[in-house]
Amino acid sequence: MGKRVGIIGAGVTPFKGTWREKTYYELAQMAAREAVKDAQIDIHDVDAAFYGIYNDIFERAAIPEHAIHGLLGMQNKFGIRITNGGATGAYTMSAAHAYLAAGRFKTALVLGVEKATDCFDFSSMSATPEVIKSIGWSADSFFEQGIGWSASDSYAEVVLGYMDEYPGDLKPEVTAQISSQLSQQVRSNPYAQRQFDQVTPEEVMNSRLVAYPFKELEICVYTEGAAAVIFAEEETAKAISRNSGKPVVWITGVGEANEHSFAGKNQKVMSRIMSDYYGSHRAYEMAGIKDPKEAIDIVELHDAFVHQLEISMAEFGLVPLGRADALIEEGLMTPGGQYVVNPCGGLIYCGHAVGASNIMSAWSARNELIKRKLKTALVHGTGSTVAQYTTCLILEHA
Amino acid sequence: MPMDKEKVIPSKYIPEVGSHIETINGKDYLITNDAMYTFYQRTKGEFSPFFLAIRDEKRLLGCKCSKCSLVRVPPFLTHCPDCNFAPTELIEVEQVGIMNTTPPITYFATSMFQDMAPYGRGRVIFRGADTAMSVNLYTTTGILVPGIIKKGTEVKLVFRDERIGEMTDVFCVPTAELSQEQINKKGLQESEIDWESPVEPECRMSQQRTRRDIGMPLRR
Repeated sequence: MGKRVGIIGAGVTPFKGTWREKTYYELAQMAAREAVKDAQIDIHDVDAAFYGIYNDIFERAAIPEHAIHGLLGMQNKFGIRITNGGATGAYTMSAAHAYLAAGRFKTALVLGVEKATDCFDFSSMSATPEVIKSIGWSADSFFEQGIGWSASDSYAEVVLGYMDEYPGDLKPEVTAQISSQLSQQVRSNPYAQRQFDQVTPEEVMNSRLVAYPFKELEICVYTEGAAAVIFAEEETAKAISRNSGKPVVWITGVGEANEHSFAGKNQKVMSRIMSDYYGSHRAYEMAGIKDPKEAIDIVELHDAFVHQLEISMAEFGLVPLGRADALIEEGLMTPGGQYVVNPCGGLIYCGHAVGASNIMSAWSARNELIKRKLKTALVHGTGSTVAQYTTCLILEHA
Repeated sequence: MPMDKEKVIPSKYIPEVGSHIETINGKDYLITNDAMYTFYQRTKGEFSPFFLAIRDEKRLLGCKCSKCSLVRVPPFLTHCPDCNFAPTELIEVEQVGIMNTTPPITYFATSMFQDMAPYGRGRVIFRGADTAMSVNLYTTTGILVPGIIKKGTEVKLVFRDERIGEMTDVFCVPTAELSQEQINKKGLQESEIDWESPVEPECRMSQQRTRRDIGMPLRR
């Protein structure tokens, strides 16, 4: 086991559908400014930078982080970019944690930024078809890109695989209720893209099919924005915390897994998200958590799709596989229930600025642990085709 | 791929050079039409026999591990990582298989596939194979709707009349919609199927969506 690592500062930009008035250079700096201000340190106190940027096409540049490094005042220091599909932000935090735990640095800036909706489809004169086309380049280029692979249809494959196995679970009225609840929770997040977009379960049920079985109000929205957290090793974290007066939220567990991307015998199990299972359970083991149902108070879960949120909660061991609807039917995640799930509104309502999303989730989990005086949170990122990638982090507030 | 194949990028997707101003809170912001494009002469390398067999011979190839005998279709590797990279050999598999899982249907497609929506894409385990191949899925009954093709549904591989050595050269339809002769035929082509007289299936949502002249996978 390496050095103990904690979060000593965090900040986000407003998440918006489009930022016409900012480039990703400025968005990155905005989040970094907020994070160092929150930690009450100077940017020059930061030893290394870890950038989470998912997609070169979004930023319209290969190695889009190169300019950001100097714009943040990090010139002549360590800088690395991580890109791991939808799980980019969580994997970026995982990488930064590893470097600090190994003693390479005392402090690190973890910054995610995405400028997604400059992509524009001139045939329909709208952004979204081109945004999802650019994500379509993430598919296997020999066998799947050309036949219409998309992020939605690839996650739908897994959800339908689960529904083949557990036909009584993921009932439409339950997924609708979860989406509606998330839309209520987002009210308290002033940085969210859809802070005032409250919907009823009936509206979710009646929204149009985007990719069967997903309806429009059960899917995350594409977002522009940035999020930053500052990590420090134990002694440095304690010193900064004494100065800022803000408690350290410790990262006590990290777990990752990437599955096969093809299906069949000895390949991806299409009825499961095994990456979520392995990622969460490895994080539990590192954190010394024996019973996650007892230990986990808050979950900031990468809800690309409501159905996937339910399956992920089951893979985390927080609800039985095949009975994920208990999250609503037994009140496990309803207000006052056993788990606080996505108090920020999740990616469906706060927004999905891909490289920044999981870092925004960590920002939210850290704030909620402190505000609610709770002990343990699980932060999750999922991504790639067929929910192939996962990283989970356990945050603890003493 | 999109329907218009005369250019790698169909002209309808290409904007004119230009810019415009958007005013937000009294300030002007400049936005320019732009593209980030790269052309390729894409190498198919070790996958060449697979795509050539589809294009020229209407055969479906997989690779069989010399040690564990796992048959992967498509043959996406030459050595088996499960057996410490034991070599594999190309073999032919049958052109009838079953759905590995219930396939999704895309209604809101990316800008490249809007002409094709709604469309199904799913994974089929062909007889003689152990792994599943991604294919587009069609029905002869009109538009594909949930319930027509599910986990375990038997489907037949169908070859396009015009083939270029891509995954778009093939697709699958349920064998229940074909004659025994068509099911048995190796290298069945799209023009050998009756797309003009769809028989409406008895399943949820079918009545409001089935039309006579749609669902024909003749374009791509």
